[in-house]
Amino acid sequence: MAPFPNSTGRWLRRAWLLPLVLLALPGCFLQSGPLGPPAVFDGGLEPRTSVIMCDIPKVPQPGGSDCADSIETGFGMSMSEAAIALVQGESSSLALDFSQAATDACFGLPRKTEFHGAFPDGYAVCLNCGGQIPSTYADATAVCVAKCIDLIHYGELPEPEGSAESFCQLNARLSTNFDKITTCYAAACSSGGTPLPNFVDPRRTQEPVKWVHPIGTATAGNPGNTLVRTSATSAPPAFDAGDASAQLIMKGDGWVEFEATDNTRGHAVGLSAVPVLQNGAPPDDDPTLADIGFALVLDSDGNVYIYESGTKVPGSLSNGSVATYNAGDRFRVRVKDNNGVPPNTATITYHKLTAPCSLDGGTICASVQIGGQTASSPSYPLRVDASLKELGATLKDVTVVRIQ
Amino acid sequence: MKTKLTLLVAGALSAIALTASPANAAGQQPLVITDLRGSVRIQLSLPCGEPVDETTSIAAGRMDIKPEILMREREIVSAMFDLTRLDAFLTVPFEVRRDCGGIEAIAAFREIGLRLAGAVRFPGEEVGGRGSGQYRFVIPKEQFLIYASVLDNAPVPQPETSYQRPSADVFGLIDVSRELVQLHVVLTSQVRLRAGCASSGRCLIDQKETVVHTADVVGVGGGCTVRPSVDIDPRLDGTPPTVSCTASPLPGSSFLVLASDDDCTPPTLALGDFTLANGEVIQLQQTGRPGVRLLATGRAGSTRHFQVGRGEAIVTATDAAGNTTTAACR
Repeated sequence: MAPFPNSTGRWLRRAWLLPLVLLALPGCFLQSGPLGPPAVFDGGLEPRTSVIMCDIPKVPQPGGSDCADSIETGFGMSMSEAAIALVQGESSSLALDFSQAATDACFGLPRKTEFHGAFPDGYAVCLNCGGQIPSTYADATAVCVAKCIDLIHYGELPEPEGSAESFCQLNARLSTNFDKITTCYAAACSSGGTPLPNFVDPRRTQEPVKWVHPIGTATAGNPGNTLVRTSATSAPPAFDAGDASAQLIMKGDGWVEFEATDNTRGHAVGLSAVPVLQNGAPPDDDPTLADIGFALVLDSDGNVYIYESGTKVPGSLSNGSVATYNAGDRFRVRVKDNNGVPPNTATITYHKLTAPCSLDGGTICASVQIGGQTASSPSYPLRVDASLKELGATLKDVTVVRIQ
Repeated sequence: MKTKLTLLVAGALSAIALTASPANAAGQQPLVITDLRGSVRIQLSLPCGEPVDETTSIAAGRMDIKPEILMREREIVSAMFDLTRLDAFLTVPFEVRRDCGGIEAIAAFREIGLRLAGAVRFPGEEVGGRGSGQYRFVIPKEQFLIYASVLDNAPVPQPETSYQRPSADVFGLIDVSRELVQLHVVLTSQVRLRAGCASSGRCLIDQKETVVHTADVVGVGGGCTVRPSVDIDPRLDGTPPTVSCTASPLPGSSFLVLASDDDCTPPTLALGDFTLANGEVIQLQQTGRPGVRLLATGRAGSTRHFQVGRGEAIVTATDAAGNTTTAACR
């Protein structure tokens, strides 16, 4: 009888090895029917606790239409709503493109894209980030491409036109607002590379406004998105101190959200269209209401007014206001992408939150619309603009939601 | 040599929704379910020693599913469900030991993670009566892909990963009123077992076995209004369970039995004097002879075949408080 190889496993004493269903044994192995070619994506050795969120579209069915039907149009997720959907915890595997080009091609209905994961959250790809980037994958996008190829191969769908590789190179990408600076989110997956149930996606949190054009103001609080007037009150009091954000809303839906710390001083926050120059947006050297294209003014009389480029818009209430406010009431100036009609423009609306709502995100805050724009639709990009009237007037926790 | 991982997972998952989200609301928020329960049974005959027949439970997980129910004048026009996320961790450490001829072998697992490898949209069919909020569904196996990632004691790079497709269509029940989702997944495959291999490549053992993973998992639904206790006061729970017995897409006169209850405890299901499992598929044959009889079953895990008298294909669900509901199988 030919000698049998000794086992090499640390827990085996002879060559007789018992194959077990969930087991890899040296000298004894299990082979199941293979499901597709070897995997392309290599997440690296454990711990695969980091995650990259990818938008990986499914390969369209041959002969199928990429136009949404009426029911899909009702339940799918508009691509322009991606940033708002993230903070509100909304998603769908079906994304809709309502751009002019898409609706023209689809007879008035949007073009649809079906994703392997939820849109805009993305498909979670767990990996050993430090071990795989940049040694195996040049960047996070390359990770998304590799995973996309595997999902095509193992999905056993017909190969896309060209090849899986070319389809994925063209279409797989990082998902909405995924942090390109940190490359991966840490502590999102188990050591073996399965997404953890209670991982809180940092994109659910609204972005603190970064104030960068102070005139008579200073920032306060942590992370510094509270704005305080530090210059003396003018005589008579006037909105002549202010600031503007570094962040720009370049496209899609979004908002700026804020509150005042008292209702006896004047506070104004809104959005202004800015030109994009070679070196970025120009500095904001006008702190007055006239410089804010679309503003909500929480004034010193306890009332809320709408001002557009310095002109008061008559409100629905008898005193010309649109609402009253108290300290701590939160408001939003919202942006809705016009999807190309007219091109590169948005529609502005004004809202008041009607109940306390967590700023941590993942929830839909109850709100009521208190007004809409009367001026022409502004063009992108837009930036947050603020003006304060009296010394000590404070805008607290000013945040912005946008497609980055 | 890297061994291909064979991880066959089958389970019906029940879950408790984290947030209340009525299925027919106009919002885009999915039901986010972070209380996942269930079990996985793994069966495999071995050429030596006792066959493997092990069960492990689901320890944690998450499911994101969004009902898309379109109603017009109180009639359901369309009922679709968008399952975008399903992750589950099985209870570990999980260990399988076998002894053959005095040799002990151990397979030890530190982590067993499973996830849905691609979002699935599928239609649902309302059951349990109009307005019940219960929908049963069947997902073709071609549309359902599982990705497994395991940390074990095998002398290969960790983790071991694989893609798996179910061996049968995935079916289940969604109770949007109680925020309950039950999912039944079965995987079956062939394994090649080799042992005692010489350098020539000849092995003492070299044969194929069918690995049967039969999942029959009962889950506890969300929206529970009464917490179970040893001495439950029946006065606290006056809500009867919900039960359905509907024709299964599987071949033959097969019926899928599904039930849920608001007291966080799965109801007891019965067909005549026989106890059924929640999510069980049974075969029924109507005869002229009164009563319910169980015909001989095949190997463990196969579908049970009952003969029933005319009008006796009735399933009864009874909850812990004694509330009952019946459903005719049709």
